[in-house]
Amino acid sequence: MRAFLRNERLMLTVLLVFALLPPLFQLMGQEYLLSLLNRILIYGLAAASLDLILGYGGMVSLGHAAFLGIGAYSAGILAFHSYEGSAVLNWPMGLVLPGSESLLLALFVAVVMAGFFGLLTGSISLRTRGMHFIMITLAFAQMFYYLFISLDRYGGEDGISLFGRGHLPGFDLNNDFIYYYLCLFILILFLVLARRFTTSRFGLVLRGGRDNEQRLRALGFPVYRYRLICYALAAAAAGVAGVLMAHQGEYVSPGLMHWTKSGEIMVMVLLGGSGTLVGPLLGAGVLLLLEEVLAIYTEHWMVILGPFLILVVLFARNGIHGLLMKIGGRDD
Amino acid sequence: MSSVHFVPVFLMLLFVEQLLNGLQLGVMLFLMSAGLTLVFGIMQVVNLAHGSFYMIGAYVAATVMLKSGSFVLALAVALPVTAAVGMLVELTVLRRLYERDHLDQVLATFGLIFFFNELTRMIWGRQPLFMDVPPWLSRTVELLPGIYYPSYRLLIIAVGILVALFLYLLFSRTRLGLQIRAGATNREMVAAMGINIRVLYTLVFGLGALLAGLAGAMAGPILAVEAGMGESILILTFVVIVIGGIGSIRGAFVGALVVGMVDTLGRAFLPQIFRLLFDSAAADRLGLALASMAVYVFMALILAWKPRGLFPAPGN
Amino acid sequence: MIEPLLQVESLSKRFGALRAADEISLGVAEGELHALIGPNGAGKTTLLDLLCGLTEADCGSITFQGRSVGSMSMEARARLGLVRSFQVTSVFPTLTVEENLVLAVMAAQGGNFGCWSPPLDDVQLLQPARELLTRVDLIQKSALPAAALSHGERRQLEVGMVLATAPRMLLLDEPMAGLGPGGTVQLTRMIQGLKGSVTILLVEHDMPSVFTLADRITVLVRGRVAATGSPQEIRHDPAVQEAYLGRGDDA
Repeated sequence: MRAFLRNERLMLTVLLVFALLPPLFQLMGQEYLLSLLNRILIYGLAAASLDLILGYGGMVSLGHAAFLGIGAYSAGILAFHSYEGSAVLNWPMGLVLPGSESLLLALFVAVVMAGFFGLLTGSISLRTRGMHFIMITLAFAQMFYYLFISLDRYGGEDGISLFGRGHLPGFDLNNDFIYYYLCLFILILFLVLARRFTTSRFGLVLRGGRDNEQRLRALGFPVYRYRLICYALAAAAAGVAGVLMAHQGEYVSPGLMHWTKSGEIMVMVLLGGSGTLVGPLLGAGVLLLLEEVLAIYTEHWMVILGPFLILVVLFARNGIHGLLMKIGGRDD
Repeated sequence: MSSVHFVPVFLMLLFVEQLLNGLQLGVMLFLMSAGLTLVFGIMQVVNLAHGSFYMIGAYVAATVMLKSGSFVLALAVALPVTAAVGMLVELTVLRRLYERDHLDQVLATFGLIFFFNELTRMIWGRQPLFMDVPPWLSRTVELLPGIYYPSYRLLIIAVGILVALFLYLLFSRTRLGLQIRAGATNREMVAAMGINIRVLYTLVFGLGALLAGLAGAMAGPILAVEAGMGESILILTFVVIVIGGIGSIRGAFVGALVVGMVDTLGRAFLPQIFRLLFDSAAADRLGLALASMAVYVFMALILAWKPRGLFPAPGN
Repeated sequence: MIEPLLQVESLSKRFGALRAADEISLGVAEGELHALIGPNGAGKTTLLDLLCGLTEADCGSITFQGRSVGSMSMEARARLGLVRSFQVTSVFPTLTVEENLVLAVMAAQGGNFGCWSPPLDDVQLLQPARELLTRVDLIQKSALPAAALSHGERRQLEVGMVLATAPRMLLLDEPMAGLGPGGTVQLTRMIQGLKGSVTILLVEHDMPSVFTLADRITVLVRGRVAATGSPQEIRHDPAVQEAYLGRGDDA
């Protein structure tokens, strides 16, 4: 219980830092940092959604970027048709979906699409265990990657460039500040919902399945169904992150779905500490900052980042979150 | 009259050629997956960095070939080097991960990929290397009347089949092979038999790296040698292993050939077939999209039917 | 005379030439703690396998609550309340002790797809869980992760989770195996506390705890019932002493 409270406190602190940094950057005249911070925030959301699958569900998915990409393309394709003045869908019986730059519509479509494909691919993937699961999730993500590469209409390998950040009534999203705080609001909303979800009956069963699937079955729980629902919900949340990412960078490309992107998000979760929700935020922050800082000193920064990850795995098993909890534990 | 005959004959020639291409890709995939499936099956380790050995094999072979001009010498250097790198990786990193869960293994070997990709960029630069087909292999051979095929690609197929045969004999006829197979099913038993399991693991890992290096070195003259080249074949290798069943060499062989064929034939014929069935350019694109997704769809179907692959090794 | 809760008549099971169970008959009354002892290979585990439905008998009958259960599946018997706790303990290591039990109570109550309210705030779950924790002597440890428990405490937790399904009769398979002296004493105390509220058939090698706990004891030797009686009678039964106790286990 005390660990839970400390975790809660850490999360509040982190969110407070996210809320206070932008004005600080402005005071220091370092506005360009805002865009980095915004990226950290969005990747943090993506990583936290993966944490539901990975940390709470115990399912090692190496294909989460697919849902990020599906979300991003939902926004990209809607906007593309809006620029073109054409319809996204033009089916008989009046089933027409026109292009649109509305952020809310993009979010809605992304949640539905990512959730649906999460359900679909999850229903097959979750029949497998262990290494098979890792690889089948990876393969599904590659499938989406190649699918979008072959869609010449939507730029193929080059993707879609967006003109502006889309519309939300009452807000000017092209203002970096406003867009940043919108993302922060969505992140907080997600964290509140996810916190409830993980501490609910559903979450307890999920964590039980991570610990000891056999025993949970013996108790009579349908483990598969719980996992599938969790998988689809996390996919939908990643879809939201994808929309935010598309509008933030004003660009969508298949590269978002490449398996190394899935790997990167997974690194964020583990680096920060899985099964904590706040850990992935920290992980996203540290990884993106590290990339940024190392890149200043050498173009070959990956040669340092690689061994760093290995060291984290070997010696800091509970990630940054674990280290912070240890430090916090001494104070108590 | 002649054109009526010409079309089927032409299609048949194309088909045979694509069949051989599929076989060649399958053989490459087998070299990659044979070692990896053993590592998965015996050590229970997810090793994402297997593609790095392929890349290292290609780079070392290309460098030696450019300096000396001898393909044989290139192979003779590349194979022991990749085996040594593999064993070094096992001793320093992988060995510490055997008792960890898959998540840790994925993360650490992902770090290895970063490291090796960047290291090759530091040593060889960002420009890809191009390796020539050795002159004595640059001819084409007339296999059947009218069917010509590059002799270098035939060599790859031959090497692959020889390796498969060698592995078959190693595992069915030798003591070492028996121990490795036993290790795949029951670790405790092997330890109880008094076999030094650590040495065995290092050797198996080295063997896997060597085979990956061989695949990379042979791929050099066909593909561009560049950082990150290991990852595209790595994913296909995973598909092979999952289809074949983790830990099974036989599964890897069957899976590799099937995946090689599905991928090659899919890319060659799916767009054409779609063009015949529908007529628009959209159908063409759909065909292309499906062709690049074919192996993954195929794998999903296999796993939906048999969640542990076609030839699941006992104990996995 | 009241009909016993569990009645076994001439139960036999052969594995090849080995008579693992040979015409075994015994009855366990409601609320009784009945211990099953015997030298290694006497067929105690085989008998438990037969009772819980893991293996099927060659002949003979098993009657539980007046119903013949001999051909029922393990799950069906468990639903009737005849539940076995296995030698291998199986709990959820990273969940707290309390969460382990809440999960078991949830399983018994059903309706668990709720995504909103935390189960740890739910009195309907928490109260039975706390009661069970008290019954298995773990209420002090309820906030610890199960991984932090000692070997014996995990057994207690496991029994608690089994009790959450409200069994009529527990089949306990060597709960003391592998425990140190301290753990044995603690677990004995816990089982003592369960006595009366649930009927127990206990297979155990540790003689002091058997003689402390049991209302009646059945001695198995080579698949046959050598004697049945109160601990006092068993202690002084010459045949038992010769066949079993005489070897110095409990001199």
